[in-house]
Amino acid sequence: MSAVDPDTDVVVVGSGAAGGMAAHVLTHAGVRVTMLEAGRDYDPVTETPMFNLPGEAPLNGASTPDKEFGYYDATVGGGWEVPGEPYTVAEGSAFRWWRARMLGGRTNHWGRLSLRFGPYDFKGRSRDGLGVDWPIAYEDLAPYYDRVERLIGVFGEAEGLENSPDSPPGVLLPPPAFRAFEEWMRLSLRRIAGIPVVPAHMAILTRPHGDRPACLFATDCLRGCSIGANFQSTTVLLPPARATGKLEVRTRAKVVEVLVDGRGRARGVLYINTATGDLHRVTAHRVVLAASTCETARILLLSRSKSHPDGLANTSGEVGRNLMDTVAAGVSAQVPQLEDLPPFHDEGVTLFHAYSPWWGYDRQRRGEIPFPRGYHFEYWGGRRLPEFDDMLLLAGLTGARGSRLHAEMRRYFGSIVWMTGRGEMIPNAGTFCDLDPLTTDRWGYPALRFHWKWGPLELAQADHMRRTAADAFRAMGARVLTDVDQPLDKAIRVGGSVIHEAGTCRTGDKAATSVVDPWLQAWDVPGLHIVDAATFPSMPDKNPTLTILAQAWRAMDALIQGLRPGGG
Amino acid sequence: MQKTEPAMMTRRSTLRWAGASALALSTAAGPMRAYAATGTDELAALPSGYGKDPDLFKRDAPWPHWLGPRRRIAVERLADHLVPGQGDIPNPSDLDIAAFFDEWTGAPYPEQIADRAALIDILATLDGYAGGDWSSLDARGREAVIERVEAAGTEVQRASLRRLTLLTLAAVYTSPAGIRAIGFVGNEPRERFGGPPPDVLAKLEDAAEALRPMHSDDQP
Repeated sequence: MSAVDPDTDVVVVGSGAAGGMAAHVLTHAGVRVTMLEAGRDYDPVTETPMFNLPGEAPLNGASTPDKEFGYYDATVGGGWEVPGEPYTVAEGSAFRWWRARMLGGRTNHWGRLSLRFGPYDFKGRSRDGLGVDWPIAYEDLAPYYDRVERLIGVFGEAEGLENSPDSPPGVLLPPPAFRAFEEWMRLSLRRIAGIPVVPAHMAILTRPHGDRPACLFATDCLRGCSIGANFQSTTVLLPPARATGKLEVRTRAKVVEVLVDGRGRARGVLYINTATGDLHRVTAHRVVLAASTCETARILLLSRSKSHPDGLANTSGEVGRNLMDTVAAGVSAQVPQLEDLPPFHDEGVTLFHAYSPWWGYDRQRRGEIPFPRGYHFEYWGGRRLPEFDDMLLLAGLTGARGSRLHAEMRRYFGSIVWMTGRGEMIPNAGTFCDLDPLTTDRWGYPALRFHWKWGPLELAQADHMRRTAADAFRAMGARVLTDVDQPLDKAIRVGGSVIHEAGTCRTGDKAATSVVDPWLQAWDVPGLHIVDAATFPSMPDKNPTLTILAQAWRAMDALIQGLRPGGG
Repeated sequence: MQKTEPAMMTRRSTLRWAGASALALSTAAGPMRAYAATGTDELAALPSGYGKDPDLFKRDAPWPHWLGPRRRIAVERLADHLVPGQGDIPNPSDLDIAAFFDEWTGAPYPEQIADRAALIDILATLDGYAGGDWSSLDARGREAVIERVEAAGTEVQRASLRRLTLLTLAAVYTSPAGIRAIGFVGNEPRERFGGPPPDVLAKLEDAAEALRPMHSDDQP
């Protein structure tokens, strides 16, 4: 390989939150970028069925094994299974892996909840002795949170909450009013249990933002957004990056190896054209991995050689280790106070307007809660566009016969509420991914194998979520629909199912115990940068995407400094 | 729901399919895995789903329709009995419920395969109780047969009737008429969102005032 005349300055692997942000920052600094995306090209402007009704879809849009979140969900080419790209789960483990095969990756389908990690979240071990600290503090990332929120557009309010930092004045967009079910949860939970319900922070525009229009307050964000009113890499990051003239995007390009030169420096990648099966290489001054937590780990593990027998960037042995997802358990209920409301528009932004940040810090300090880290509650429900799966659930509540069924359907419409906890998992030695010795993908490369173990603290947290939600619903006289007596290991959501995987290539301040340095460059491999959630040393209850974006921006600023004359 | 000319399956292919349905129902795996496990040509000919990347602007269900004219009539009459129209809600037959069930129970996915078995069973049960073609009876006769099945049928048959009721309700309320009738307002662009109307907010506030705070010992 020639180090003198590479194909491009930087090759970026992945086009989602991390890859999109990397390309955005680099190209705006004048750096030539080649982006490789394993999936097909995707254009939300022409491919989003914004206002289609359920009856316009096969099976009235119901979820199927081909489209697990319903026909109109934005995910292309994937879901819990990707044809020809299997993964395995070790005996005794349970794990699910959501993947997309499309430009923009999973940013085309995500919850848009955009909470900053707080000061405690970066220093968990210092506070309670568990896991590891991040090598940086909140203050190091705060300026990048500001930049990201300004760039992508996030609504929310300054609440002055413990460990849920406020944004500076003028950064956030105004939040929308609560919908009826959220207003009910705010009023009732405050009175029943003292649980706060506050405006969510969401990557959705409530005002025009640059050349992007505001939300139309209609159509499900999970379909994607053809007008670019929510955050998708494909509408917010990639178009301006392309406009610089510095970005080349290659789709159906699945990276299987990072190439290094004789001195051990990253010089490019090898990828498969998934349409033809042909192998190609791209050489570059720098390699940025942003393929998602588990794909990034797999690429490194596949990059085995005589000089790197355990995979690239893995002298610490930490690649694939410390895998985490969000702890989740929830309860659904039919709420009588929401029955028989008159017809009115209540779609809002379709995703969250409200959430409950962790309210138990004082009780944790007093030793009254049997787990050290926090969780938050999210709320689903309301008078949304009737989707088939929702109507089937609603129909299940009816007890009448014949034409009287209609009165019950009208009565119950909008009265089912889901109250689901989202908490922090402590990484453990029994939860990791490695290469399966037997199973390969359709090109012959070893598949990932997942090992998963919830610890006692996660189970205690899930139990707390479930009891809190069930008790609250019962106190308001609601009909609890979830089986809250099932064993706890069944009540806690399966690992990976919240789609918040993190931690397989963690950042740290010591090469012996981490994969990348505090600026997200591999300790072992000069020129190799990892910018997705693989680098997270911990995965707080807050959803990861905002922090992925902020970390990627910070890492690319450092990379740009290194590319300049005299840089490293 | 759209009207579609049925692409009829042959009797032979229907029988193959019914066998595969039973096989798929007996496994925890998805239908494709169940089919593959047999390794026979017959099962390899079974339909596939719409895949992982369908055109979201088309209603392309690639599997064949299978009900046929007689069963379509029976399905319409059964659905009209289970969920009769009322006021601004049409009868299911007016919404072409037979096309919905033709598509739904023809789909090669586990949930739909189970529903196909339930539909086949319940239509056969109705004919059995009627001593012939149930759908050709007059309305009173059809109703009497259903009442006998509900009273004297097996638990599985009653569960199948309930399942078909729920599917019909979901189909009705995802049709444009049902979406309007249930009280949904929206799916059109708006410049702002102001939250629920004042009378709704007042009702919620009054209801919240009536709640009893949980005792602190009750709180997790």
